[in-house]
Amino acid sequence: MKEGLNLLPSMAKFQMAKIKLKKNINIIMVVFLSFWVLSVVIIFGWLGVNNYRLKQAENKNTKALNSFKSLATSVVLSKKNKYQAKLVGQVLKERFEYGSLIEKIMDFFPENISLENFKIKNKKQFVLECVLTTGSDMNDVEDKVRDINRGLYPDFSSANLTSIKIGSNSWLFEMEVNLI
Amino acid sequence: MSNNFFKLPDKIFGLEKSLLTLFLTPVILLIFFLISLNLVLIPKANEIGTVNQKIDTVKTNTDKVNEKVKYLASVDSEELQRNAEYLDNAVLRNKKSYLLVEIIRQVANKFDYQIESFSLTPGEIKAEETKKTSIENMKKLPVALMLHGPKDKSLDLVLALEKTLPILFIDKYDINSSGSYSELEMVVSSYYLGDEINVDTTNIALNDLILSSDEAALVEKISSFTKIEENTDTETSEFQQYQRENPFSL
Repeated sequence: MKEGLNLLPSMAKFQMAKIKLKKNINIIMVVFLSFWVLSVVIIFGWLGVNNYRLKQAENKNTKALNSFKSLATSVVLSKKNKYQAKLVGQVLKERFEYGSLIEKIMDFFPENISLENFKIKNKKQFVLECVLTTGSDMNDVEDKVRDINRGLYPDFSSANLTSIKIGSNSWLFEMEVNLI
Repeated sequence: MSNNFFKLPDKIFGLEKSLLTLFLTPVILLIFFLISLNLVLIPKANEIGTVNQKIDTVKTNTDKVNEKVKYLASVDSEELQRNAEYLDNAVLRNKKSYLLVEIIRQVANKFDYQIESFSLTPGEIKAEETKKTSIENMKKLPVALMLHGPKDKSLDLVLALEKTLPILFIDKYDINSSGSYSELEMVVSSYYLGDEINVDTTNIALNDLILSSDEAALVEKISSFTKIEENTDTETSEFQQYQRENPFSL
C-alpha cells in the first residue's frame, strides 16, 4: 500500500472507499449540524438578550414618562408661556415706542423754549410747535436742525423748520422731525 | 407485491444504489438547513435588528423625556406662574373696547389727565381694525380719545401708557397746549387674543418648553410694566327687578 500497490479485489476496494466516504460524510454532517445548532443558539440567545434589553429600556421609559406626567402643570404652563412669549414678542416688535423719542426731542431744546403742540404726523414723522421769548434762542434751534441734518443725532434722519412767526414778544416756530 | 413496489433497483442511472443512499441523509439535512435558514434563522436575525432599532428609539425617547423632566424639575414653579401672569396680561382677553378705555382712564388719572371723550370705532383706524394682522389669533382694538390735563405731565402719560399691561400702541398723538393745560388727542390700541390658547402637550420637545434668550428678555421687559386690572365688575352685575306700584292705577 505504501508503494502504491493495492492487491485487494476491486469490490473490496470499492467497499473500502465507500466506508471512507461514509466516514467523511458523517464528519461533515456532524460539523454542519454543530454549526447549525451553534447558529440557532447564538441567534435565539442574542434575540433573547435583546428582548430583555428592550423590556428594560421600556421600563425606564415608562418611569421617565410617569415622572414627566407628574409635572403636567409645569409642562402646560411652560408650553403656554413659550407660545404667548412668541405672540407678545411679535406684538412688541410691531410697536414703535414714541415716549423715549419725545423725551429726546424735548431734551433737544434749552429750557426757555416751550413745546406747545406736538403731533405724530406719519409713523416716523413728528411735527413740533414751540414758543420762545428771545430771538437769540432761535439761533440755537437752527443749530439743532443743522446738527440733525448732519447726522449728529442717531435717532433722527432729518429736520426742517416749516414756519416761523414773530409775535409781540414771542417767537413761534414749527418744525418737522423725521425718524430713522 | 407491495414489497416489490418500493424495492429500488441495484443501479440507478448507472450508480450503485448503496452509494446513492449514502448521500440521502446529507441531502435531507441540507434541505432541512435551507428551509430552517429561510423560515427561522434569517427572520430571527432580522428580528434582532428590529429589536436593536427599537431599543435605540426607546433609549433616545427616554433621554429626551429625562432631559425635559430635569429641566422642569429645575424650573422655579413660582417664577413660571409669575411669567404666565405677565404674559396673560400682555394682551386683552376680550374684545371689549370699554375695558381698554377703562385701562387708559386709570393710567391717565395717575397723571391728573381726564378723558373728555372717546370713540370706540375711530374712522381712520376702522379699516385697520378689520384688517387681519400678521400675528396669528390676534386682533387690534383701537380707541380714539380726547384727554386734557397738565401740560408738564403729558410725556409722563405717554411713557406710562407705553409701560402698561396690556401692551398699548399709540397710533395717533396730537397735543395742543395753552398755558399749563394741554389737550391730547390720541388713538390708542391694544391687541386681544381671538381664541383661547389650546396647549397640545403631545410630542413636546425640550425647546417647546424653554424660553429663548429673546423671549426671556421680553418677559423680563414686560415684568417691569405696570399691570392695570381689567375691572369687569360692571359686566357681571345682574339685572334687578323692583316691584313698584303703578301710581296711575286706581
